[in-house]
Amino acid sequence: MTGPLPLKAIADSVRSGARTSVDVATEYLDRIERGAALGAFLAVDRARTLAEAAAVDARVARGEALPLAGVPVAVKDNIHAVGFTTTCASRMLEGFRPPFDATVVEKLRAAGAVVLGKTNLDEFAMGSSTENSAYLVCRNPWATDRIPGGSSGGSAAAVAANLAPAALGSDTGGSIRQPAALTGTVGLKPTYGRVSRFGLVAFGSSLDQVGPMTRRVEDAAMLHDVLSGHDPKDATTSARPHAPTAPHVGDGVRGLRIGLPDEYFGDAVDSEIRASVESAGRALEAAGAVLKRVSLPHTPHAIPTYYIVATSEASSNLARYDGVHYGRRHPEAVDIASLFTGSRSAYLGKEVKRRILLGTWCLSSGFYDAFYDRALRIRSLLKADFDAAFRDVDLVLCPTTPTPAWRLGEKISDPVQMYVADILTGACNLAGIPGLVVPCGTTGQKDTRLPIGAQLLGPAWSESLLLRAGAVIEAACWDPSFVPSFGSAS
Amino acid sequence: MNISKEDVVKTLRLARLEVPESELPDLVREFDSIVKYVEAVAAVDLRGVEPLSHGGDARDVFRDDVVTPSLPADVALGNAPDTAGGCFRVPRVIAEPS
Repeated sequence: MTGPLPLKAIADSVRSGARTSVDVATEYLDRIERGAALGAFLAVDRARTLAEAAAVDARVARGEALPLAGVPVAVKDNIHAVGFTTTCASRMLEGFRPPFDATVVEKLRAAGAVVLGKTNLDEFAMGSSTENSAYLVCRNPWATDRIPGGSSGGSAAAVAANLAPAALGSDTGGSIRQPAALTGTVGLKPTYGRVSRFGLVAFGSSLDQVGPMTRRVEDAAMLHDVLSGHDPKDATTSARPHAPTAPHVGDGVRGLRIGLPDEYFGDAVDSEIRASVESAGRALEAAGAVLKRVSLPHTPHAIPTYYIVATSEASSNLARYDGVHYGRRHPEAVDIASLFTGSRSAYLGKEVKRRILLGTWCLSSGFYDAFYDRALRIRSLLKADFDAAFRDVDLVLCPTTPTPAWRLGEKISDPVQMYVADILTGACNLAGIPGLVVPCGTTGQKDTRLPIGAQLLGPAWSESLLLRAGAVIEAACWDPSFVPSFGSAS
Repeated sequence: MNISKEDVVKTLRLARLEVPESELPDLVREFDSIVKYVEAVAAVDLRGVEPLSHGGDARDVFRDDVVTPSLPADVALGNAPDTAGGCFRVPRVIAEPS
């Protein structure tokens, strides 16, 4: 096999002794150094990662059964991993050292994975381009003058450029799926409650989920199986047992009914993207699925509703940054008012302030009923749309983004333009259902080809079906071993 | 709805935030466009529709009332900007008696 190996092959090679975990980690750490210009990582610690890898080699030598033996995984920097800082790409959390692992990181480490570093993101995961990072510009490996999407842009860029074989992202309104689509990678947003949020820094607590970002669908399934399950430390995780998805990735789609929602194929979506996703649909049809048009009539209201719900929750969650327990304190704080207001104003970035402002407004006396309460009622309608569609079809296939990756700086001065980038991804989080993005083609621009992602949405707990359908699209439409050459950093 | 400078200043105060006077006009303009965008929710017919606060199957969760290990105090205080005697230290909250 040429090109980057599937995760299973990496783990097999370490388990069989063909390579050590230290060899594998060294290979990726070297690549991260050569690819530093992409701005994908906020923290890399060679000594720490090699020590983790050596510990995995010792566990392999003792005969421990490790499904992810020696697999290096990059972790979005809003997820705690002991040994690394968690900054959320915010000045507020500069130097913050988490005293515990997120449950997802604990599970990865228990399975033999090695934390490769912490990846760049929009500050507190608020953004669609990673341009809201307080630290580093992050670039799309397919065209380095373009954004990698966001907010998990660093994880997406790292996987696309093969600086990491896999990464964790978090998805509140599309933050795994949108960057996956814009970088030609696979991203899974699990059902709400499937994966623990313990140790994920909270943004919108009723929307946030952690999920895998990988080169291949089978890799996403493998990680998803490790990450899933009930966690006593997160009361919103489901007690429902997780049935492994990886053994069924190759089961195909024969007889599955797949819906194409009219509202997701409108004129607002770039015609090349529509055509590419329609060809992914034909690939599913050729594999035995039945395609059907469906309607999700409340879709036009999804993004206003999403921004009200997400920012309202964020305004409450981010109240914790008060300069007292952790995070930075303004050096001139002399009383409680200047402690709170001074610290928050000095160390939170512009977009974070805008969103806290909107959330505070939507929850404030006089506006709660007109904004927050109405948004929660529209949320019911959006969920009812999906419930109705899933009585007719098993899954829905649609585009992920209205456009391919745009140029750095193109939308940064217009917040509403940036919000509209989430127009095809936000409803999934509001309804709590799972979504998978699989690359299905590229735009045909002469100077630069840009990836396109097909989005599959399914009812709650349908990850296995999504991954099966995703594998069919991947096999027909994409070469997962292809790594874009990003300038001098090959 | 048109957003005024007073609306923004009042909401900033509720959120314990401040922006420099020079940045206020831009913020008022941006916030006005954001509120006009999300205001679209006013046009939806919601008669008989119940609010939904989350899409998952979560419900009240109970556990036995037993003590489980928690972070040692020095670790819990490890990221604090200022501490004293095993506590978080903050500027004086209550004025000296006059």
